[in-house]
Amino acid sequence: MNLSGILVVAAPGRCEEVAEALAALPGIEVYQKDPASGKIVVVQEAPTIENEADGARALQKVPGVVSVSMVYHYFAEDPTLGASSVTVPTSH
Amino acid sequence: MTSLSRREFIKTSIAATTAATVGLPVTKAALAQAKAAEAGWKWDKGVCRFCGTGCGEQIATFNGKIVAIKGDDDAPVNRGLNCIKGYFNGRILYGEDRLTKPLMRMKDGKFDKNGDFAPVSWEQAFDEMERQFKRVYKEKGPAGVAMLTSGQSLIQEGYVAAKLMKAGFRSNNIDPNARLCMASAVVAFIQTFGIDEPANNYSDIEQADTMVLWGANMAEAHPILWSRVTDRKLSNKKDIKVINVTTYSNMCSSIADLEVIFKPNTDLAILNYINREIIERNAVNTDFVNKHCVFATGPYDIGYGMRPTDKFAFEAEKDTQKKQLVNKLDKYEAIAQRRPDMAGKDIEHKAAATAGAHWHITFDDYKKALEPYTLDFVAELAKGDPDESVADFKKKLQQLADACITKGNLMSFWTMGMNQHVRGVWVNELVYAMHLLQGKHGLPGNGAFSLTGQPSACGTAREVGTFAHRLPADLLVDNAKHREFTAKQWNLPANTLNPKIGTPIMVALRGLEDGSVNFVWTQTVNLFQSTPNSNHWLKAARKPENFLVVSDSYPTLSGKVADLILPTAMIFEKWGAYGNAERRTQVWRQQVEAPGEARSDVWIMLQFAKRFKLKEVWGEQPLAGLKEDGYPENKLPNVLEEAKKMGYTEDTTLYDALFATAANKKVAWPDPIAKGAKNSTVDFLGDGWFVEKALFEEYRQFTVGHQHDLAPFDKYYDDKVRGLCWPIVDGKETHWRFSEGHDPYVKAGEGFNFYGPLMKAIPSGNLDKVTDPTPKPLPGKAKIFYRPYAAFPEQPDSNYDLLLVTGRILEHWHTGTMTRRVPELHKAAPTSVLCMHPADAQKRGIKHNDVAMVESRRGKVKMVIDTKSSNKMPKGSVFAAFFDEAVQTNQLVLDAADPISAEPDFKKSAVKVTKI
Repeated sequence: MNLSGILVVAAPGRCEEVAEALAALPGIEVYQKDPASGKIVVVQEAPTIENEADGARALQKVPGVVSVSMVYHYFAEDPTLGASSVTVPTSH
Repeated sequence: MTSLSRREFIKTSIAATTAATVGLPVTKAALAQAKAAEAGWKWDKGVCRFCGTGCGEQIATFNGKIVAIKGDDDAPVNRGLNCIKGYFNGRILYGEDRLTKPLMRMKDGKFDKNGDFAPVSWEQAFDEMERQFKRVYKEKGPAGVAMLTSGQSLIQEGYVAAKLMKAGFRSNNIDPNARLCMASAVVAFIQTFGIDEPANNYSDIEQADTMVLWGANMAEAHPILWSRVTDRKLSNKKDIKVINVTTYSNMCSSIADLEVIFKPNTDLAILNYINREIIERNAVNTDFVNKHCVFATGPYDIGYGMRPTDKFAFEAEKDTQKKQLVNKLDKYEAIAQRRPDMAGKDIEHKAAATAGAHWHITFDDYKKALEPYTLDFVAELAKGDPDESVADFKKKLQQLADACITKGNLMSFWTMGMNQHVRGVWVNELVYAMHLLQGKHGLPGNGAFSLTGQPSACGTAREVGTFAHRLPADLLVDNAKHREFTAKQWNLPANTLNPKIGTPIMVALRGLEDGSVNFVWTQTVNLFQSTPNSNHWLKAARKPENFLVVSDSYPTLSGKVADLILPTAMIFEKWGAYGNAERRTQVWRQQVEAPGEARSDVWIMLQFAKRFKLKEVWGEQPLAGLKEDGYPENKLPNVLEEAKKMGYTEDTTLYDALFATAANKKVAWPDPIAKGAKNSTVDFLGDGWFVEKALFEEYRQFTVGHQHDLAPFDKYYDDKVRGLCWPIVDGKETHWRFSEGHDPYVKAGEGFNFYGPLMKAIPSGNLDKVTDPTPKPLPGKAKIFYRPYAAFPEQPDSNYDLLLVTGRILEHWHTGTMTRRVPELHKAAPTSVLCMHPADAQKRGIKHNDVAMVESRRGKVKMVIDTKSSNKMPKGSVFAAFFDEAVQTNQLVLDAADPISAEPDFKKSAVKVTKI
């Protein structure tokens, strides 16, 4: 499991419309919005970083979206991380 | 807690942290919950690994692994935000194919050039590397070996590499891949201001009224800076203008007020048109120009940075290669260069060897030089879209001039479009001219700002000076005073340092082919992927007399043709520092341990240094072509006797002489600033000095009082500090250089002082030649250059009928060495595509998504044709990203370069595309 907190900025006057469109996307939950600045905070849940990045790109394509920025990324529970196969050195 | 409720718990916590970061209201309870979700995690500051912007990060570790990354809301660069590349800062450490053991070509238990890669111990790896290095060094001296490094190398790594090569091995054959992206910018800085690096900073975006992108796809190459530009444009009541001057339509045009599509290389003519207009419209800031500037020019016939011989050229490349010596002036060049009678006639590139020479001219001469660049002439020459009318294009050029000649605040931004350019130095200088003529540089909201592509192209390659001609802090190897100062800093006998400029990257690679260089060690760079005309170098690496060492964290194409691969620690697996494009130096602590036997580059170089005694390197060394006061001809002198007087012995190792000095060993590890962080470099070295701190402090002595002042090491680790912009004088950063009130090196009453000390005395002449060779000083002044329009050498013809442009797209960075490791980045661009105008595709019977053959004089590859990309090509031009390992775009690309900067022009090669 990956989770990321993303800032989406909507074009002036289009905050509500964009928030609605975002909420309909898979894995996306809209947590907060501010029509005055167009800022929308969403959290995206995705199985892997792959899906996480694809999802962020998809947000960019929603009509009325001006910019998409990742703010917070939690990836400790990603099953595809190679970390488990890494051996930690024990000697010099 | 069930996994579902834990997930909800983390989600709401992330939402709260995100909201707080972007300045939306959050309840205290929500923030408390966010804190609880991160119980046991350790957060520490870091820097993004993926581009030159230098975004600040907060990194969370738990149980020895990085578990989360967030944008640092205290970081002035990115204010808590990341672009998509940010997702991979933690992940990049954990790719399944990380190199964890040295790999060497082996047969029957021994190194064999034709053997297969097998894991070996570090001891075995160093033994063979030492044997091969000493074989070549004995045979060819310092000129036969080369180290090729990176704009991704840490500051300390660059410092160790430069000192080991220049002071230890007495070889100037060290060059970073920044040569491939920033060298033209560097030369233009030095020639114009006498000192390297930008005068402005990112906060100028929020103060600019007009922002012009010159051949820079900022939306994809620098997304965080682009978000600041869009924010400035869209959330401001003022009429903020954004102008995209480019050779093809790209994402930046989506918010641009004006898009100007020009023909490659005609940016030179467009800028001369604007500069002509500045004079025509009486918009010259006469007071500023008279007080702070002089006018200058240089020779025109300087070649294209190719070899002067066709001995090594493929048959098909010979016609292009010949142009290095002689080519025909086209009618536009002839007019632009005020020799209209030469149109269609051969000219000899007689000034190829003295391309960087320049001299004073008068303002009247400058004005005369600009005369040919009328609107009519430039519009006809520069129009880049065959489907646009000259009348429409003319209007756009006028609008561009109207926007650039302004009473408001003006910023120019550029990156590779102007640097990877056969006349890259010239075109950089013409942008400075546009700003200097109006007095709009080094001021809030006003400046010409050269951005960088790599995270420490500035901090390491340029500031430490890992180039073939440089020493730390803008000092030069071919300047006796600079060598003397450096020898004092480094405690070296006189004349240890080599005064002859070494091999830039392309010359080193050509050296592998022509036999002048036989040992190459690459670090954090995938050159056999990233350099143009790569088929030559791929073959050369496998010649039996050559030995190639590749230090990297992942398998690369360069690794495939290497003899020895050394596994390296990455970013947060070591202590380090980067310097970004606004002179901001940023640091981090080691967060986690590297996998397996991967080691930091610093450890690797220091271990290698232990294997050399002074008598092997500081005795007399052959150096063909050396003629320098105080040096024997064709030789570096024996300095061992002098060394003994200084307390060294013949058997002192380079490790002890250069690195583990008495002073450095006093800088002890552990150190309280570690706050519990590990230091694997120190642990594996095992002798207890704090390597990164000692070397940073040693390096810093070069900068203090020399207009490059860095702060003490510990200051950067202060919890409150998010990087500091040099020069830092009396504890204060400098955000705008050269202007009074902002820069401590400018005195009260001066207004401006372009105090850079280099190239500050030049001869005088007219537009054609030097008339008085006596160097005339120009203290405190900047140069406004006249540089003419010149065409690029390999124009499309009836056979190779399309122009290939290469560049970056957002999903990939560098050569894909890191970003391609991450499968999701790879998936976004699964195989290399060639962006093409639909009509060009149709003419060849090709449809969108068809696979086609792309062929140049140098090689051919299959690519997927894309006629629907956000990069919309004009007819006649095609675009490819330069990273793909499966499809080596660079084998198609011509290795012509700017003759002054030796930076290749990756963006202008003739190709043909055929249906298969």
